[in-house]
Amino acid sequence: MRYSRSFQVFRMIFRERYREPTLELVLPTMLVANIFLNAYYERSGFQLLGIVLAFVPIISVSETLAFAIGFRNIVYVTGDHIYKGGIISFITTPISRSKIFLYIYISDVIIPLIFWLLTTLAYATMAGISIPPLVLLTFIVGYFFSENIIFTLTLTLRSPGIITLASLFVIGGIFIFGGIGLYYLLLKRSIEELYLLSFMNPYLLWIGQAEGGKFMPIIISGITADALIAIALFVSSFMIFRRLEL
Amino acid sequence: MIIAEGLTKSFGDKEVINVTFRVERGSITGFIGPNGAGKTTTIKIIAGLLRKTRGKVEVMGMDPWNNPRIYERMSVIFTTIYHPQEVRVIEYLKDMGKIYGKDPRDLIEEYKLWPHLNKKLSQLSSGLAQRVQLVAALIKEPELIVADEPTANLDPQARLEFYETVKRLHAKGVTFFISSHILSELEKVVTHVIFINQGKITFEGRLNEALNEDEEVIYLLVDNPEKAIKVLGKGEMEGGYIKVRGKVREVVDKLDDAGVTIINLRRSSLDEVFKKFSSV
Amino acid sequence: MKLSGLIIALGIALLSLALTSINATVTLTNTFTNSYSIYIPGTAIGTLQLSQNATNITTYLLVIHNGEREFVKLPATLYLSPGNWTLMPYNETYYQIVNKVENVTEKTNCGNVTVQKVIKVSVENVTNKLTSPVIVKVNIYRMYLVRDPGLIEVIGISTLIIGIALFVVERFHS
Repeated sequence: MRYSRSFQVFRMIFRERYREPTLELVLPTMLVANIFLNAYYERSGFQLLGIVLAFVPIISVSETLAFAIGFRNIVYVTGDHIYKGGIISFITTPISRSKIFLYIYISDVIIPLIFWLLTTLAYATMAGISIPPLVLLTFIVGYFFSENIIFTLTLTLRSPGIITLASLFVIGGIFIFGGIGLYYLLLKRSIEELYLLSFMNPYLLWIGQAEGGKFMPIIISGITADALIAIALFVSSFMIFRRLEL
Repeated sequence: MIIAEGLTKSFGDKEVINVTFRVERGSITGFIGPNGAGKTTTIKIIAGLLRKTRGKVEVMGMDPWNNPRIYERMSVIFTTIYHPQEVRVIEYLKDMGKIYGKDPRDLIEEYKLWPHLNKKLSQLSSGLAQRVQLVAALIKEPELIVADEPTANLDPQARLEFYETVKRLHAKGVTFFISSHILSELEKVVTHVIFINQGKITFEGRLNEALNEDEEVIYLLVDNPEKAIKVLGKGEMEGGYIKVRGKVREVVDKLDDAGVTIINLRRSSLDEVFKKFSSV
Repeated sequence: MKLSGLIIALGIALLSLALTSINATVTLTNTFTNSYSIYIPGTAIGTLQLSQNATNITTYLLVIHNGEREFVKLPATLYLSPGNWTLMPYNETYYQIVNKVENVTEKTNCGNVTVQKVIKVSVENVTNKLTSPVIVKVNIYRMYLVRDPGLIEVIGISTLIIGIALFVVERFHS
């Protein structure tokens, strides 16, 4: 059977990122790493708080793994190809730059997210834990937000070392200082300012919500802001890639 | 095949090239110039990897920037393989074959790559890597091959093999646009030359036009150099050779008449032309 | 890309999920006077311990579990099964010593005299409002990772077998 040229190029790009034994290691680990969901759920007395805590990035091994794979793909595969010129081989295939960008983006960013979503939903179904869709959406949007920042930095800065440092500072800064700021504002009960910072770390608001607070509108506004920024970054990455000179 | 008219590329405020030239279909055109002259920039614009700042560039009638259609008919070869280095030779060639719907096995056989198919690209020697790159370039059966310093990392044997392949493909109708520093080997295959210096074209034409001048530099190995210099009234020793500027026929006649035996005569080569057009 | 490795790895993962459980006991303590609800997932194994500090009180609770109603006298221990548990006070019975003034006729030399005396009397009170809070201890002895470990075990073993078979086929073909 002969596949289209586009599919062949996509296969090349995909294989470059998921060489054996990447999937063999990542998928089962992601699936099993969800045991923290049970553990936190049990400790919280089977309440929302347990689910929310289990979904906080870094605490959630599965989410951290998805993010790390996305990061590795963007910085150390795509970034390295741009830095060392390996991408020339893909650019000089008879398919458009737009499609190449799309395939790279799917392989680098979307596929790790699909792995995470599938394993998490499979685990939640097996464990009989129903996860609120908005909790899932919080991570999905946050994931695109941070990976798109890295993608834009990669296409702009090109050097993997510099991108790693810049990404750590930018994303770490947003989440850590955002978290501290939101915690302070939560204690102050300063609702208007909470709206302003909500995009920086909506998990803190989720914890407040699980503890009986009424922060759902703020959480939704944070997720919306994250999504809008992620879309803007995606569009800018696309524009940079189309004009990328090698 | 390639047309560049007022083709300009600037990085920031600095204009790196401003060139006008034409590459004829069916030619092997040598693109010659010193380091930093703008050869790679020009080739990258032709390959669609850099965007022109101004002017016109056409490859097979199309603007190469963001134009995937030209890659159906054009291959680009660099000094090293620009492909992820963890990939094995067989994967690389099979993938290229699948993209263009061609079976690479005949080419693998022809270029004797069977023993190396399971090696990673990073493990290949320079010569082997260049052979693999050439096979990958040939899979699509291109009409035009653009090569940027393809023999820079190769030993003399591999360089000769490369140019033999170029001759063979040229006979089949493939047009070549090759930049190289190793002019003694390039002059054996090129039909046309384009000289570039400091981002400007200094000469464009057939090889014989470049070499054929009224007065050229001649290197003579004679039995009596002192007498030869006296007879010619000019010339200087360079190693064992007399270096003299003039018309070959006249120089030979003068020496014959004076009874000086010419052991060896070397006419001006691309190296001399290179020096001239590169202001060296 | 060979699928067998991935399928074998997933099989092992499923099998480990089926065979593993969290055995550290988790105790959640709460008190209530009005009502108490808790959802117990299918993965949790444990008990519900109900008690009161006051010893002179007899309390009956209405326990609603997945629509079924039952009256329970405290103290009580219930084995948890999956679903929603709601505990509500049904009634509380307690005895109260009250002072009662009674007319007592006493014989004196002057004749019979009626005097009033304060005596302590125990009175039974019944109410449907709790006066003393109920202590609820939810003890989770074991938390399975999956709802149906048997089924997941079967799926895991099947996946493993399919993966191994595929591995053999792939080896044979290469």
